[in-house]
Amino acid sequence: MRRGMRKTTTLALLLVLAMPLPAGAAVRVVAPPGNSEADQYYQTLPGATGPRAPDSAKETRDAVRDGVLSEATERALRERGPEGLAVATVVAKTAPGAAGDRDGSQAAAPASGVRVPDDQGLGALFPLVLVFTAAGAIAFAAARWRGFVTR
Amino acid sequence: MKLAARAFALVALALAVQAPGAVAAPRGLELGLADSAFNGADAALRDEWMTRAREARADLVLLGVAWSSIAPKVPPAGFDPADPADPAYDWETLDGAVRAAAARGLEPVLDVNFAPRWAEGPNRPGTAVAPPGTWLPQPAELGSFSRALAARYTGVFADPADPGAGPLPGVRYFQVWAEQNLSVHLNPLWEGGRLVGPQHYRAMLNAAYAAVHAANPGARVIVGGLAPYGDAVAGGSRVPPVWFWRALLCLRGPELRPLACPEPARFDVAAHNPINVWAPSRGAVSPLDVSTPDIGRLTSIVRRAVATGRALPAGPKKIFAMEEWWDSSPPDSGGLPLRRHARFLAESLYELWRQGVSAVVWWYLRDQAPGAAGYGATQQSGLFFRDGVAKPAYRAFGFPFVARRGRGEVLLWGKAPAAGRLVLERRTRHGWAPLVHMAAGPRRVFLVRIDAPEGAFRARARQGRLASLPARVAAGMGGPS
Repeated sequence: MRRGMRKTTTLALLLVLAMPLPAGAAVRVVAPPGNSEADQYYQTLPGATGPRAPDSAKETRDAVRDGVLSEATERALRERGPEGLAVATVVAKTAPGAAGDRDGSQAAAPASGVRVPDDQGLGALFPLVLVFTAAGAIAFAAARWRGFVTR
Repeated sequence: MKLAARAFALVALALAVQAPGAVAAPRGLELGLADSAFNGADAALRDEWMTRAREARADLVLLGVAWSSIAPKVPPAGFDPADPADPAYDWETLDGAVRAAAARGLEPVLDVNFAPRWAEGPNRPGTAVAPPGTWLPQPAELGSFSRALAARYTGVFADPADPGAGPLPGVRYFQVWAEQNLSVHLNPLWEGGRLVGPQHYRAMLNAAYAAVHAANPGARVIVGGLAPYGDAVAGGSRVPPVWFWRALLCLRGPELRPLACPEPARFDVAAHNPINVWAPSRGAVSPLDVSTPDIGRLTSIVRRAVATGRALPAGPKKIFAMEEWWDSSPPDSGGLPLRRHARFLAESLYELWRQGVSAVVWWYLRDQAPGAAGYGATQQSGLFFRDGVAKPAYRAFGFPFVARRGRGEVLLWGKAPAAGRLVLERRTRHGWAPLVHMAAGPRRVFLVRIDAPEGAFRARARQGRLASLPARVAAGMGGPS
């Protein structure tokens, strides 16, 4: 049963990770090493905290020199599709000493969380979806626990 | 005994790679350089660095064509913007750069950018919102200028103002704008929450395409390379390149559904600027961005557009990478250590080549001087330090070599300095020992897969007295180290 709960929780986590972010989502930035034009060439990563100014030298030292994931591991994860990429992103940003962790910011959302014009984000519905997803997962797990749902 | 065992192992290894899995005649890869000296008014400095570009074994040089610098500030009466000999144009600096490149066997790529004020659109906001030359560059005016530009460099045009100098060299490649997904280059990108930049750029591109081909049917028009990263927010100053490409080529959503497209984009070469944040094998985090290993995101859009008639003329499009660089330390303390700088250069060339890119331009040939605020606002990505001393990257550019261990094999890739025989070598305790003898074809790119022992070792390529930087072969990726 606990295994079933773990699966449900994992499913819920993946669903949450795959959700588009609201338009006002915070961004964090990663710029090239010794970046000469950090105002142009930096990556924005969806994040949970407020916008942060680029700090190219620090970011690149963190990322390139102290990479949390080996390139081979990250490549292997990336090849597993969006879920693998989500795992790689979360691991890289939440591991001790990871670039995104040093100032206390939270994990970046996965790439699939970036909004595109053709796939509009949920805006104000986002928190509601989160709550309903979590509630659904708990209800499902409880139902299984009580035997209402069987395989 | 130990020595004998090592010798035996080495011979066995050599025998194992006598018939390597070489790919016959691999695709070529043209290498280009950009540098502010190429376009500068100082002819002696320009010539010196053009010569160094040739010595670095560059094939191409990227020359910026500031339309607003060549065109008159105010068009005089009788001005014919399509006439390459109109006296109101000032071609002197560009003529000098094109002649200097051609004299050294370097192929110029001319990148048109920045409209004169009179060729911008109406309702221009202040320059704080739209920098000079970026506000609605008028397609018809761009077409006229492109006509004059292409006609001037057909290879037979003699400047009536300087008849003794002989005909100007021919130019094959014309790039229309650059990084037009950034508001520092094109405005407006958004209007009322709608992405409008790509539509306006399509009109600019098509006008330039028609004009260039009318003047020189053999010319090749390059779509301006887009900046690699954007912000997935309507109204932002940086449009993600995937959004821009889709809109430019009338395709919708990740499924690339074709939209109505009365005037499809016309171009010969698709270009991109895949400037990396991380190591060259690490892609952009956002699926809407296109970094070095993400070129597939661009090619899938272009292929779909060609297949559905949203990109003309029909047929495969070449892919060029028009801007690749990392800054080095020294001199910029935030840059990469010199060896890693060189390794990233070689690995980025391989990454791009393996994805079908056929030309890569490295920015810059020489480090720029620090600005008032230090190194943060200028390029320290050069193959040379500011004082003219070569970095390891110089060797990696002229003789790139990459080694990667795959499943049960090691891949060795590079571009030889010249066609002809070369030897791939392995480092032993007693020096460099031959690993593979092979010949580089006329395109000079070589690719070989060999069975190799487990465990790390160093390899390099050598042609005559020239040797590449050594690449470390390990689990994962190698390259000059």
